Amino acid sequence: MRRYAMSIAGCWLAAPLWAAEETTATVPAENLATALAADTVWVVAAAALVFFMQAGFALLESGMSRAKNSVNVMMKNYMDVCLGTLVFWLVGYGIMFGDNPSGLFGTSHFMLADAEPWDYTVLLFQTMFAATAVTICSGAMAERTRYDAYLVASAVIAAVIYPVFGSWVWGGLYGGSGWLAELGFIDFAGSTVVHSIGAWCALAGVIVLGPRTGRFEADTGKVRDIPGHNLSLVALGGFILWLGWFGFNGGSTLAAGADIGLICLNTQLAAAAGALGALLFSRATRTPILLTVTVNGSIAGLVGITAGCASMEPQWAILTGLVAGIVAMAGGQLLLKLGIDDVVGAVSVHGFAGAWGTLAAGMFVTGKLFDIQQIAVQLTGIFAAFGWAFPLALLTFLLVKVLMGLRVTTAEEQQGLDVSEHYEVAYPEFHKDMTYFRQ
Amino acid sequence: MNEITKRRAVYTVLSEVIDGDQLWEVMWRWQRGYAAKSQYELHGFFNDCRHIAEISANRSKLYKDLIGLLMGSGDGLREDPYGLMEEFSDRASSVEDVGADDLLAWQQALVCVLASLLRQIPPEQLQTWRGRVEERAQQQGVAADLVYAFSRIMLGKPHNVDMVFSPLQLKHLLNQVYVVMCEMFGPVQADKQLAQAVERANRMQPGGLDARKLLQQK
Repeated sequence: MRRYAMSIAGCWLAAPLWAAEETTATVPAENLATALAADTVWVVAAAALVFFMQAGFALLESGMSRAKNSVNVMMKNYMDVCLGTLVFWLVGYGIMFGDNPSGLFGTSHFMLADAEPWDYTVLLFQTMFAATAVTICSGAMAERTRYDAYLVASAVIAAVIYPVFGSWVWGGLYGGSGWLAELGFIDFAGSTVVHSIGAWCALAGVIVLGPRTGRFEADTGKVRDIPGHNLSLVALGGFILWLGWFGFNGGSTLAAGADIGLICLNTQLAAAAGALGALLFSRATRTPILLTVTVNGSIAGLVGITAGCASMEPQWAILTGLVAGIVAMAGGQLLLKLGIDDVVGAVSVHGFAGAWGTLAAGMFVTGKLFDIQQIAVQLTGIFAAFGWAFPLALLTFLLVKVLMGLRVTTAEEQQGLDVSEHYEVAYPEFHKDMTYFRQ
Repeated sequence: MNEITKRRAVYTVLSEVIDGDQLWEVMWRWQRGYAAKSQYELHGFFNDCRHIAEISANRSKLYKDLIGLLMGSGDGLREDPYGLMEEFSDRASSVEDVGADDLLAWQQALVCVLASLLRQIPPEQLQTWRGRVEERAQQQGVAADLVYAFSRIMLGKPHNVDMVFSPLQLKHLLNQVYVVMCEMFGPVQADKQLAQAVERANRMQPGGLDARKLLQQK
């Protein structure tokens, strides 16, 4: 904690110390300028790493989808970044970080301009977070969602659902404070704020959409596997996400400080432990140890540690990641039993593991292990996230369904969304007998 | 009462229970067969639409509502749908201009695809599969005559290929076949079997209509 009034209570976006009056009085101005420059470089670099995570999501989700839908998945991920960026600049940033006297949402700094250089840095970094939250829906809803309808729902998530909850935890950068932050809620880099919120929106989306045609046997409800078309892409996507997570968690210090080491180490340990947790779960349940399961296990570990990576010792990070891997796998099976078709396992990996990670962040606080009061606050935040995001996303998707139509027809599903939505195919040779395309 | 008002009344009533392409197909059926006829012929119209579950289930109410609108002052009628009907018609025939010979080629392609599929369905599941396709096709508004033809093909009996069905109807039927295959055998197997059937159908009738057109939606 070099220059920031960062605390484990989620106040990590409080004013930098180089901007505080008492500090400027005692530290030479050139040192402060150097510190600001170093912080800016680090946060912008971290933003670039988080941006790169979008490539990871795109590869992972595309690889887990059938070849005939891979362009559509890529397009959704691509446009999530584009739309999320514009919408977050337009309204999201103001709602999330603007002056927040009520503790419920920000009311200033919309369409940020004529601001301080540091404001632009934070906006850039936070824009990547918003895009991440939005893109979580994409994979879950893959292979049967209308492109236009999906984009409309994405814009609502980026404009309202994500930033309002974010303001409760991280809000008040320009005055005031979020009500969850006031309670002392710990979510350092967004296990709940980013990942669970995205996952609860995804859960609403897949419920409204319904499963892919044939995913469950009509009479018995038996689950039918629909393997992805390219496991190499899945593995590469997993590696890229892992890499990007060092920026996601490390950059959340908003300062080029010594604490980044522990944060990134915890991130690494939890990811590794998450994959191990998934392996143990597979062994315990006598199911094959799949690549997709292993990659999802490590991502669950990453999601899990995101809340507490700055506030726990490495051994607890390992436990957090290990349990996150198990929770995600068990959650995935639960969803299937409920007849919910999440193509990439986003709800279990980002939602269930995110909730567990947020709880773990309160349980394993260095010097304050298993503090009941902190755990109660964490549970409050976890349920508040679900209570806010899920119903609102459900309403959003239902409205989109009624007004625009959310799901493609079965004929389009058969043909593949690459052709039906984009008139473009990723692998023309793969399904030459399935489509009559550009003859 | 002029034809436009009658069309608006039919549209108003039918749009309560069906929508999309199915609605436009039924509207065209009315336009071509019943627009010039008296309202006493409407029973025949509803009879023609009995294969559509939403219509057959609400037949008496729909008839009553329609007569009520035709006898009324014209309040509450929806706008004339003729423009939308024409849009549908353009879309349906946009694949290419379909002449009578072409229509037969479309049907022949479908017969080949179905015959190829027939060889791939496990014999013990064939009857269940056929029954489900028939049931689903009727629910989804595939013409009753086409469903009957499908049954004949699946039973290996002579089918009524001399009857002419629109490419849209043929595509619609094949899609129902695909959906039932997805439900019974899983989407992976369904995709594989359909691809093989299409490929085999094209080999069976060199120079015929490319069977992949049956899968083309736009």
